[in-house]
Amino acid sequence: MLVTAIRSKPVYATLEPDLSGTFHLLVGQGSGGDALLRLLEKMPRGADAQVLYAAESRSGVDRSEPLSAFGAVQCRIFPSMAEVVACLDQVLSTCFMGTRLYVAGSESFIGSVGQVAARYNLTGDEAQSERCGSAARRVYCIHCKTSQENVTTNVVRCAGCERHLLVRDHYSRRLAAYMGVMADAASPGTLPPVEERLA
Amino acid sequence: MRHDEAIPVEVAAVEQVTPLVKQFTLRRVDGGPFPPFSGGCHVVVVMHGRGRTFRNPYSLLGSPRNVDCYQIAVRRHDAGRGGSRFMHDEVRVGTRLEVGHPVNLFPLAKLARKHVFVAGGVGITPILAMVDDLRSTSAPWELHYRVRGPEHDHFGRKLRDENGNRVHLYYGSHGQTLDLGRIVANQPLGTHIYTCGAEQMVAAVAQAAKAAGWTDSHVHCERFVAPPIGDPFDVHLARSGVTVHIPSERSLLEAIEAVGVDAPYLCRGGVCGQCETEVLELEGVLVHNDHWLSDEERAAAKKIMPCVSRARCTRLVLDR
Repeated sequence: MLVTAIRSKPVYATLEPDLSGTFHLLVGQGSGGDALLRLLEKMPRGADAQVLYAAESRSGVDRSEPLSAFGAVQCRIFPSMAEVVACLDQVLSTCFMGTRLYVAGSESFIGSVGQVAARYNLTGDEAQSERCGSAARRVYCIHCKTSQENVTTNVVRCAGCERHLLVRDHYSRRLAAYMGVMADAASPGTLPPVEERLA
Repeated sequence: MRHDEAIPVEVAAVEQVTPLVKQFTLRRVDGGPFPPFSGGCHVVVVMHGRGRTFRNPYSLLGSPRNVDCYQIAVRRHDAGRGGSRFMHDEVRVGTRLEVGHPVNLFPLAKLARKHVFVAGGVGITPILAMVDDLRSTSAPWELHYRVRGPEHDHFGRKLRDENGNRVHLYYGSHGQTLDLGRIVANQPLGTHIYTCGAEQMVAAVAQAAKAAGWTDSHVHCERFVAPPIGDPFDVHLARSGVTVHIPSERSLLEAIEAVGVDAPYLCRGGVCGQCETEVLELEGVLVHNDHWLSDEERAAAKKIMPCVSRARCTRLVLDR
């Protein structure tokens, strides 16, 4: 029982080169590497581009090698998503207007990248994101403020306060997570059927 | 905003600040404070001339922290419909006018990391208040201001005295031109650019920003147009059941208001969309002067913005 028709739920697209930009920053993780490779194929030769990629992946997909071998563009490989996000922060601080950001990976990764991009006031017409791999969610407990990764069910037990949380479609870009609210607040102990919805 | 919500004001001071521009300080007749406003706001000033009411939009140039008075600057347009001539020739200390409530169609981008302003001539007025708003933030800004010559530079000098080398002044008489390519190059991410001035300057800034890879969400402009003079024509207002003659020097909106028909408006400069009106019948062509309708809508000739647009026609029927 996911609450639907909530407009904050992010909508993702397929990455396309935006040649109105003058510098293209490609950021990805895991199976997002395939989307970055597709995008690089579509980029005209000589386009000023840079790739930041994390091999870390829930599914085990690692496209470090083909990305490094692509040539013509600088590609930096990192072992973890956190390191890519930290590097992105540093790169954006030196970027100029005209930059286009392309993000490919899990929703949690896209969300973390979005938090950094927002600090640089990158807007919707300067950034694109493509969700790759599983639809697992990062869920934020609105009661104890703990976030947990890789939630694939409609109800999840909070790792912080142990409440059963109903995972809503209400997404916060600031927190980069879906809101989890106590599922049995009205009638304690009565939970909706737990369903695997987002594998 | 409606005429009946206008605030009665009295002119408290008039200053000739450049050969073409007068600055007016307005206080409420009831002595109270004005509605609060933000940098980039304009108000519609209602002037009761002999047998003719003018309603012209002017940017508020004073500090948004001071609502004891409103300040506007009016450039004289001798070839215009008469509103600016009225302000220059008839209005003096003590003259009663009315102003509408402030509307902001040119706001600062609150999340910007840097602000770049480009202005020409009297286009500096909204930027004076915007720059004042930025005092409360840490965001850096710079201004590039071009005027005909030093005698036209009252506001630029004032800004430079207060803000130092953030303010770059260019005098046409000295052959100094804006290097827009350089201004938009190498600006940090999250920079927003704002232009107010002649249509040509606004278009040139937009073009330079686009060429440097800026997206539309970071480019802002104030491009009010004064209602141009044109051929006279007649319009029939279907809902009101009246036919109105539109003389050369009067806008469609002004003529509709003059016969007592209530018509919506906000900017009176062709940018806000408030006065959009459906064209029911047309024999002739519409002369679109607004920045609101799309090219397709203009071509379809089913809508008109009566604040600035006209027609060359033998018959025009509007849904008003």
